[in-house]
Amino acid sequence: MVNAGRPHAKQGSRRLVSLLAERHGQAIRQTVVRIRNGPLTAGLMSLVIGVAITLPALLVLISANLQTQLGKVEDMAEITAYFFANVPDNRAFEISERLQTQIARAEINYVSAASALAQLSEVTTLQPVLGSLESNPLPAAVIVRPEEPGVATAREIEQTLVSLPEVELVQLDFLWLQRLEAWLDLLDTLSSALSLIVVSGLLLIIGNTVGSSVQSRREEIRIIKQIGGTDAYVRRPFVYFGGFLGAAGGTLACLFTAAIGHQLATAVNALALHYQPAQPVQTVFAVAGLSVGQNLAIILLGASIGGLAAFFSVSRKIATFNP
Amino acid sequence: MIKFENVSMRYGPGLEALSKVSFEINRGELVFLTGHSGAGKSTVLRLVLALETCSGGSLMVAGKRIKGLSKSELALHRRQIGAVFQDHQLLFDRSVGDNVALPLQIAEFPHREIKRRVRAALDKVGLLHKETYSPAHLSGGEQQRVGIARAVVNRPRIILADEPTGNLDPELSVDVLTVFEQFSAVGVSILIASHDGVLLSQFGHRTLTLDQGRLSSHG
Ligand SMILES: Nc1ncnc2c1ncn2[C@@H]1O[C@H](COP(=O)(O)OP(=O)(O)O)[C@@H](O)[C@H]1O
Ligand SMILES: [Mg+2]
Repeated sequence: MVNAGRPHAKQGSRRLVSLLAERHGQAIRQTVVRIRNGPLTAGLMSLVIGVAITLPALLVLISANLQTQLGKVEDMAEITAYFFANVPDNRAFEISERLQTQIARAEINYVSAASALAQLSEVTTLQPVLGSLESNPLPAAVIVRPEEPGVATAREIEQTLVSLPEVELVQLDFLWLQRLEAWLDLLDTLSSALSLIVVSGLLLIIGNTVGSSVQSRREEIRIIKQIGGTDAYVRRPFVYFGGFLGAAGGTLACLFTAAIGHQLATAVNALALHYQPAQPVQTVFAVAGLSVGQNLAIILLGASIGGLAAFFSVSRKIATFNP
Repeated sequence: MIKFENVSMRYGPGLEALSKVSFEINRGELVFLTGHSGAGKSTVLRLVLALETCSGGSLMVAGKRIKGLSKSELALHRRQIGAVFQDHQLLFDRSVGDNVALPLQIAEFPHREIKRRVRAALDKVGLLHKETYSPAHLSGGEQQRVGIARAVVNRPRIILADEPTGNLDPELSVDVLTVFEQFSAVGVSILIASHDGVLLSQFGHRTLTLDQGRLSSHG
């Protein structure tokens, strides 16, 4: 008959589940009511949060795309060593054979002076000129294609080739590659720094919004505490509200990023052209959007930041409210 | 159920709102607390509800000393008390039904159970037909009765009521006091603060009289 306090206190785990469902269902219902009562505030806040998250998300998107492109280009990187003209053909061939064992994981092709000339005459209209030459002006060469991309690997191979006394010139035109890598590093640093700033900004913005919501519900909180509501009970709907703002902002950020990323594709293409020499490398950048996982991570991150900001903001405020 | 021993209360520097008040209310007892305005009636109720802490003496409720309860123990303490406040303390942004449901929601009753109990409580105070109204659209007397429904909905062990008939006409006052009597008959301890002498004499329960913070009569 007399039955105050916790109705489920002495019951089993199935009851615990329904208790938790009731507890959080209730808080979520209240959150929904609050959002419905003030859709403009919630909408504007989500927009602000969305815009804030979009900035680092875009940088991540750009960096990821450039990384992919860089990978493709690096795959095609090759290092060419030209032999002195006086090195006999069989000697040059021998050296390139030896390189096969010296340089691990690379495709090594020997191009004799004769075949170089043959190749050249295939692709030019200067055949009559070439035919009139007394001797072959082209040197023999060895072309190394490292399986492992990256500037460091290429540098290593370059060193090996340069140290050969028979080699006159080593060509590896990867200055632009190094530049791109430096740009990417800069971009990554930038997006880390920006993420940090945005996260702290969000904590402040959401904390402040939820804080003023607490302030305007002072009276309600006082009444709830008077009739036995715990701080946790009071806090819960606010935490969900903060979480909602973060998740909604995150969702908007995903949409913005997808839209802007699409627009950026052309601009990135133009930029890429400046860094690529006349080499017939495939230059069309199909800008890949964020993955499903990345989008989910952004939304979840937004929700956690929102919930966390709300939690601390509410806790700090309600500690000062006396019933 | 409620035991005051030499309880003193001082809101700030200056006069004591209560000085050395001692009394005891047993299980199932209905007691009136009377006295002039400013005598300290509300203060007594606020102390029982632990909305204030006494500056001297000792106060036990349901076998527990109020002083030294932790935050969460305080919340549980308040849940076993149904309180009717002088100024109703209703939430105007939710319906009458949701206001009455609040103590059950706080105590995490199942959804369906809440609905059933809310309707039963509203029925008791004759306001079942106003369940979906906003409290803002009710008269002062109706608001008072919503407050009473909210106080009894959780079937508390103790009911505290501060001037519960202040806004009610004599007929409704009698109805409300009859509701309280029904609860005391099933073992609920009830303390009602009221300066309505005529009404009190009509019911003839034990009466504590406060005079400038001192208990002048134990009834
Ligand atoms: N929050 C408060 N701060 C300071 N003084 C108060 C406060 N509440 C009540 N008092 C004083 O305590 C005394 C008793 O008040 P109260 O308990 O409200 O009397 P009653 O309910 O019998 O009218 C009064 O003198 C009142 O002015
Ligand atoms: Mg009073």
